[in-house]
Amino acid sequence: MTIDVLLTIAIDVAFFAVLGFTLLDYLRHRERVRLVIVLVFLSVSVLLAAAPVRAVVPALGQILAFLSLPALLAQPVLVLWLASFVRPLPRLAMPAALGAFLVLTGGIVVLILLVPRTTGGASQSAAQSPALALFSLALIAYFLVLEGAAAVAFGVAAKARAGASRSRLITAAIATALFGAALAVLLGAGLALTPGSDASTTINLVARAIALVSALGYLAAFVPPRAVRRLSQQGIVYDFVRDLNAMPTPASIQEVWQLLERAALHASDAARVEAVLEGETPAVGAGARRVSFPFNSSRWPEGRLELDLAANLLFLDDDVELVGLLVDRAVRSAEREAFLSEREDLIGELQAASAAKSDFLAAMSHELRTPLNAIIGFSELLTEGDGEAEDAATVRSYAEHIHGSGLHLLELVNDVLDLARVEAGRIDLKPIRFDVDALVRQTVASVQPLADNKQLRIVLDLSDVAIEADPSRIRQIVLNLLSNAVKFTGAGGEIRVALAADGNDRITLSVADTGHGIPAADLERIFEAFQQADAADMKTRHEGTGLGLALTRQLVEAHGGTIGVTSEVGVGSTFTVRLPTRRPIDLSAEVPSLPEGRAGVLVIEDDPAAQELLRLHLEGAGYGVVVTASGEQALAWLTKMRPDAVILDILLPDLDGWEVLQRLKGDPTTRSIPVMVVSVVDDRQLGLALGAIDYLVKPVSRELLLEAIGRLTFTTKVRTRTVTVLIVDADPGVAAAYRRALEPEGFTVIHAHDAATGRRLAVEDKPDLILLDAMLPDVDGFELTAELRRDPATSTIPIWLTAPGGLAQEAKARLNGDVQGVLVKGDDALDSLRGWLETGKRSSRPGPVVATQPA
Amino acid sequence: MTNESRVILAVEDEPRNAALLDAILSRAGYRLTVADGVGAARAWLEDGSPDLILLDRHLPDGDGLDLIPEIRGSGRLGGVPILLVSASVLPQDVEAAMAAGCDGFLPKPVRVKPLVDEVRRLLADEVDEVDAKLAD
Repeated sequence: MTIDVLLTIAIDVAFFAVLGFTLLDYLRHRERVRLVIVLVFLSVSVLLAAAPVRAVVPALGQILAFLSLPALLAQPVLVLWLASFVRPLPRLAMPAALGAFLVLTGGIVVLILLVPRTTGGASQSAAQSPALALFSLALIAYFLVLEGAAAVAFGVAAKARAGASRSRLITAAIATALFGAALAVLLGAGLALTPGSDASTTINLVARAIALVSALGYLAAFVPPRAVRRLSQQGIVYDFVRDLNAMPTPASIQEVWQLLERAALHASDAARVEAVLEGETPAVGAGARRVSFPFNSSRWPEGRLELDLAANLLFLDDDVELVGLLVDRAVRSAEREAFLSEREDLIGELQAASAAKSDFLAAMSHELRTPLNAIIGFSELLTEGDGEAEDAATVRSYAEHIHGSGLHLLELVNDVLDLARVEAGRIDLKPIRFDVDALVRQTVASVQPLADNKQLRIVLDLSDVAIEADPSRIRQIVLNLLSNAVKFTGAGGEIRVALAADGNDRITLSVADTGHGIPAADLERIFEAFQQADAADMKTRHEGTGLGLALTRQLVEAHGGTIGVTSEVGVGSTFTVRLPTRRPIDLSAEVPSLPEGRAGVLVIEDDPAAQELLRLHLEGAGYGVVVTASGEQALAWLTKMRPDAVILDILLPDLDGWEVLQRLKGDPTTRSIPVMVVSVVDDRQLGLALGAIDYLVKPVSRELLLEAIGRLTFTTKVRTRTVTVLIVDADPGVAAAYRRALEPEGFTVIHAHDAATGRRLAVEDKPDLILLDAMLPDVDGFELTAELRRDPATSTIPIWLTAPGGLAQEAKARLNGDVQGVLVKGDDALDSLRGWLETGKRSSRPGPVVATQPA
Repeated sequence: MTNESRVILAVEDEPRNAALLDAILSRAGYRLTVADGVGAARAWLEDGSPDLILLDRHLPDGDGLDLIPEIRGSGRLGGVPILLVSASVLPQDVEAAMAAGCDGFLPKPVRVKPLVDEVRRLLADEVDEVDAKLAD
């Protein structure tokens, strides 16, 4: 075998391998594009296969030889078709190509029929026939034009793209051009050279080689093997990561998204790339496809990268994978930046808080020392000494100093405590309705002596207004503002106090003085603890805690109000407080609806932990739960809401539970809603007297709670919905009797003949009540009772035993509280049962209650 | 020189604190004059000649320390010992006081014995100085 032959075989094998590869790829992905690629290679393979096949199966080989030229002719058309996937071609292009193909194929047929074969079977040299020569030229032209056109199409498409797409399309263009060249060479050689000559063979080989290279080019362009794709992907990811790392820290997160968008654009060459953090985006245009890459980030739950791609884009799979990688990296980077910047902010805040705390402590130390000075000093004078007793008047005077300073100290300490509590949100406001003007007058009277000392005039301009607020706290506010005014106003000045309603359910209180004013820079600072105007200079530091305004603001805001100040240095200051006249419960707000299809419970409880616990237990048992912390709000809601039961705490921030209970029971529209008190306050008598159906003292176990609620909702159910009664009795007559009695009243009766069925039905149908014959054939009624009680699925269903002659004492003892009562068989039994069902009354520890007289 | 004849000026605005100083020092035999602010102190010092000044810092019309350069600067009062009695007890406050020229510092709450001892010490120094001057 010569080198030539070996090489030829090698190239052919390689070519078939490529064909096989593309075929596999198509079979895996079933995309039309990939099919076209397979056909492109197939069309060439026919020619290559002809010779080897002829050696093995001559007939088939001959057929292939015939088909090889048409097949080859088809190749440019197929390539042009392939190009159309990447870039729309002029409308006439494909039809023209197809036309040319048909013409030429027809020409071949004609030639084969007309031109006689020379002996030997080989085709003649073109030189021997002018028709052949012309035809061959036509063929060359055909190939060159079409392949050229396709190559140009790829090239132009490449220009319009970027990154991987561009390189691949350029590869495709080159491959196409190469192939055209190879074919041209081959055909030209076929024309000009003698078949079999050395030159011919060499050219053949060269042409084959070019064809193979071109095939590989196509492969790289359209069906790159995984390994190749990986390489190019890795390159893009590498560059991206490098650029990410090159960003300064802390980078703006915006920059990360911009980097991502650029990289994604390069990797996919989409028409639109956008990193969307939240919300909707306009719909994608016609003819385009949107691919969305979710961030999967808890920080940006709706975050995604959106790519709008032209449909028919060739390289979709790889783009998706790659962009996914980029998005993942970018999101992680962005999250980290966000975290770092948050951490910095947090550290800043902590440092500021720590500094504030230190300042506070230093200021406290300073403040406390003043009253302590008098307390320790005077008491030392009294207790030390050379035994020389002071006279009584002196002793008394010293004691008064000590007492006075002690009170001052107490005031300081209380203020600090108040401030801490208000800031922690734990101040206990006790709002009542009272007249503000009266309170203001009282407070003014208390500072009048101080004002008189300095010859200050206090002018009042008060309207008659009442508000719902905590009067002692309002007094605190007014007193603080007044004493500040007195303190900071020089002798002979004036303080003006005004009070008016402002029409929007609010009142405005203002205290204006003609004191030395507050510099603009300090207007905000004075409301902070221990900050006084110019405190840093110590120049104008005044007696007093410096907590006053801080506490005042907290108290105002705790009432839902606002406080502000205007001031001009040398002229005076005006402090203005606005307060709502009513507790800010939005009574017009939407009443929440109870969940459908379940028993609904309204929980009135202000402690969040208790709220959670109750919700957990109740929802876990299948109840629908609505929670409020406010008695007022609950009352407002209950005018529209109809829960099956209400759970009420006594200790509530606005109204206390007793008040709520009274109002509920006093109102005919809400009277019938059963209320159960769950509170630390242990006053069952009062609760029941006011109308609560049940009273549980915290802490309450889940079982107790659910049992109690079960009773409450049962009662409501009896009044409003169908009660299902399970009768477990071997005697069908008995069952029928109960049915006759109960069904007309709206009860649903189900019947079990024996214990086993009874147990099953109890679990499956969850009846509201079980009537159990104490004398069942298979299982002892008591035992069944015990079993039903033990099984959590049935343990809360009330059970009545029926027994013909009542039960003996020891039998009752055995029951031990497991049943609601015992029905003695007879007509009256039904009455007592009905009666019990209507009232739903149960003692808190159900015990056997023997009903009425035997029939 | 008896204690009685010594003139001590206390610059203190809180009446109770002033009363305390007076109670402590009068028990030790000294007499106290009280000025309730920087302005009042200045006014008094125009004519008065104290043997000792007890100074508080936080006064309604200024920081007591501001008086010191004025006192030191005036030739007549230049050598008068100044004892700071103050609730500003942080290290930086004490430093500021000493740097301003105080001869002593007592933190509030003030204790009887330390106050009396300091006063005695500072007055004795003065006596020594005066004696020294007389001796020249």
